[in-house]
Amino acid sequence: MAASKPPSPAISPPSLSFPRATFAKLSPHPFLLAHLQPPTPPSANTTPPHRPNGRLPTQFRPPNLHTGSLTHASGSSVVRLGDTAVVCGIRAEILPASNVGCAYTCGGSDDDTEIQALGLLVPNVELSTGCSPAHLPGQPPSPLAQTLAARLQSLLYATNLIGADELRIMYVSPPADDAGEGGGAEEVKAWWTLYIDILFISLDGNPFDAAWASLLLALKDTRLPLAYWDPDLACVLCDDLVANAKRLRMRRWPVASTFAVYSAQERGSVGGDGAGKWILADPDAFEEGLCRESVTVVVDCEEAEGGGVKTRIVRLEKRGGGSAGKAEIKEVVEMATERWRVWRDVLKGNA
Amino acid sequence: MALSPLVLPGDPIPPGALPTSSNPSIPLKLGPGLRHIPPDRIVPVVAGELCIDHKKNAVWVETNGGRYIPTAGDLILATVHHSTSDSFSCSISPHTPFASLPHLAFAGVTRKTRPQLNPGSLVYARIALANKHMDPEIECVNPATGKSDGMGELKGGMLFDVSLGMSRRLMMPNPSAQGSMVILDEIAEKVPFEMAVGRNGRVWVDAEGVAKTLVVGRAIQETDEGNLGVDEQRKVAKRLLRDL
Amino acid sequence: MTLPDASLSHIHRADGSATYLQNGYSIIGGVNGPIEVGRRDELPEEATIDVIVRPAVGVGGTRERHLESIIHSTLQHVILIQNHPRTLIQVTLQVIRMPDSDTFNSKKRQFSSPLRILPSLLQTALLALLSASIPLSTTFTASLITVARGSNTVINPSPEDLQNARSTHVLAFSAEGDLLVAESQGEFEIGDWERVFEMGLHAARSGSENRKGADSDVVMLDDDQGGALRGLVQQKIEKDQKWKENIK
Repeated sequence: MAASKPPSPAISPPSLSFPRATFAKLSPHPFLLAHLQPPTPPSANTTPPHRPNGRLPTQFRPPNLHTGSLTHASGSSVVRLGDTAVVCGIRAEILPASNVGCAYTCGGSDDDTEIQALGLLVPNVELSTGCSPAHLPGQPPSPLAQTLAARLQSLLYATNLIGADELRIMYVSPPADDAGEGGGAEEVKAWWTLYIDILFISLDGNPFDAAWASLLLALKDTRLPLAYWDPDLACVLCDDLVANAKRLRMRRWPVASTFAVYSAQERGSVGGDGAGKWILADPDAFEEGLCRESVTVVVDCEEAEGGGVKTRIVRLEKRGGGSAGKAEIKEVVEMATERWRVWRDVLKGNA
Repeated sequence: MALSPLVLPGDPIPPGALPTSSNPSIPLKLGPGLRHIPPDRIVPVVAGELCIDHKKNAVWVETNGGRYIPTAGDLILATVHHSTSDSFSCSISPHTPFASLPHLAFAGVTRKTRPQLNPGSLVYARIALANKHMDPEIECVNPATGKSDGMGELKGGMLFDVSLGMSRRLMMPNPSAQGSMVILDEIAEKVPFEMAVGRNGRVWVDAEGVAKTLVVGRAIQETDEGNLGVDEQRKVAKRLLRDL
Repeated sequence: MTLPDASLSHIHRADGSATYLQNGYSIIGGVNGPIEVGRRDELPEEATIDVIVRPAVGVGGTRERHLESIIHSTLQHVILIQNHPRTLIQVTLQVIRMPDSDTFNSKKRQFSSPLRILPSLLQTALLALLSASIPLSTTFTASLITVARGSNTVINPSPEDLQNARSTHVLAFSAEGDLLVAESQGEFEIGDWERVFEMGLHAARSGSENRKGADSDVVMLDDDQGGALRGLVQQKIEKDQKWKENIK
């Protein structure tokens, strides 16, 4: 609506437009659509469509990492993706074998079942920190926090990140006689249990990627003190020399990437087939509120010869809608591989 | 009568299955269980039997489950929960918002002679207004004629819950012939009774004494829960009458 | 593979109910709604969906919350929630029986695999919703598929298949063939997943192919999950409409 006559300079004209933030609040769905839709008619010199946060649809937020900031924890990390910031702290406790009900045979290669059966890795997610208006402080764990914890735990176990031998505290009985015969039998006297606490300081979308990255970094940063079984005291003792503490060895480095699927058709409206859809990488809170469909891929790549990488998927989660099919999933996996490269480079710089 | 085709939500309805009316001026009527997706798709939203009335050019999906959704014009049995300054709040089905029944929506009442209904009273009423964004409104008077048309408070008797499909069967003009509810005739031969059926899956029965009322109520409920055929209904009626 | 079995609307006090048996799982689902919603959960434009999963043993934990969130987001897409604004549709799924390989005491239990039960939960929820006549935009078919070493894909795997599986996948397709849920874990490549996708789609499709001939007699195929669903619902509706047979 163009005003036909120029407004008099004395009275400021009634504004016919609102600031961006007002539009985003008033009609979020068309606001996002207007950003994503390519301009018509297409011209050569226009910039490609951007999301309201200034990113391209397939652009992730650059990660910002810091490790070892909590001095009292065995390992800790801070990860920031834009306005999503997470602190992860790991506390190691000793689980004596005498406390384990059924005697667990050690030495097998049955790593995964041992860690799972004893529950040696315990992630917990805390969202009630005032990190976002949707999560009030002082509330019991929200379904989102519980879901995140379940997803993290299941991914931790399924990926076999840490070998069970890293967490065992062994005892080699001394030779029974002078000739050095007998004895030498190895026995598991205790295990390390790692309590992994993940606190969200600020939540602006995509909690899973940030939580998983902080968990991995904190595990990498974890130093377990040298622990040994004292047969005279019949308990586990720890060496207090930092130099003797050992770092956890991580077997692999799977990277999680989350995408939201935005469809031009607003919910509740009927008809209008063939409406466009966009895959938005690393969605922020505003976009998550508008997209019901989401895809999370966790990939673990191997660097093949000749600079290429071989992508192995360890987890795929897609839910909440039907617009992403086979082709879209393939596209998403390719983007996740790219994301894996970014993380690898960041970690190389960080290490 | 052969069973009409079964439809599941989202099934395409072939154009041949839509009613063909001899009179093109009657618009196609979509009954419950169907939705129209512009421009020309008609899709079922519930699982059930696709029913067609060629004369009225109407199509709907018949199903026997679920909760009653208030629809304007339906006759229902409502329980008065409490009274406010100008209306009664009545419950149509459990755990749903109360329907309001204005004090003046009764036949022949004025501000001076408004009816006194205690909490727990049962009324036979018609849904005057229902839409998904508002709580329903009901009335016990025909607004056109000012007559009660049989609506109003029901005194005595007992209330029985049945499925929605059963209440539709009972509301047919001749339930025993059109809805194969022969059990009603069987029992009426021995036990005279009065009955009021609400679309919300409730049946009110009054006979001489509690025992006889219960026999009628049990007969309807057993027929409903067991999906009894004609012969089974006769057996149940015989058994119930013998125990009386 | 085992064909699923189910009974519908057998709980008279609930608005809709279903018991579903498949692969050794037995689940009772109950649906109540649309009912009044608490002020805090009320949505002005659509119905709130509440999914509760109760395990066979003990009380629900984070694992159940995770399953609930998957089912919730799926149902939110399938139910026409804008038809009943400011109401609550409550779906309760109680696990009655688990196969022996999944019980708590079994040493071979795969702790990290809540996926195995997911197809049965999804299917139970759908049947209970159909029984409650909640308006839905479509139906769906969920299946469990494993990829063994050597890239051998199996649909509706046996306990041994699960034991040998390198990756486990749950896929749910709508009647139109849209991918609604894809949950995979294990280790696999995109090629494996694409084969799994085709397999799941085929199983779901064979059901919707039957739909086109809806007025002809429904043919039940052995490897046909979508058809099985239709058969189960058909049984229920025929039972409901039995009284009409006597009407001339």
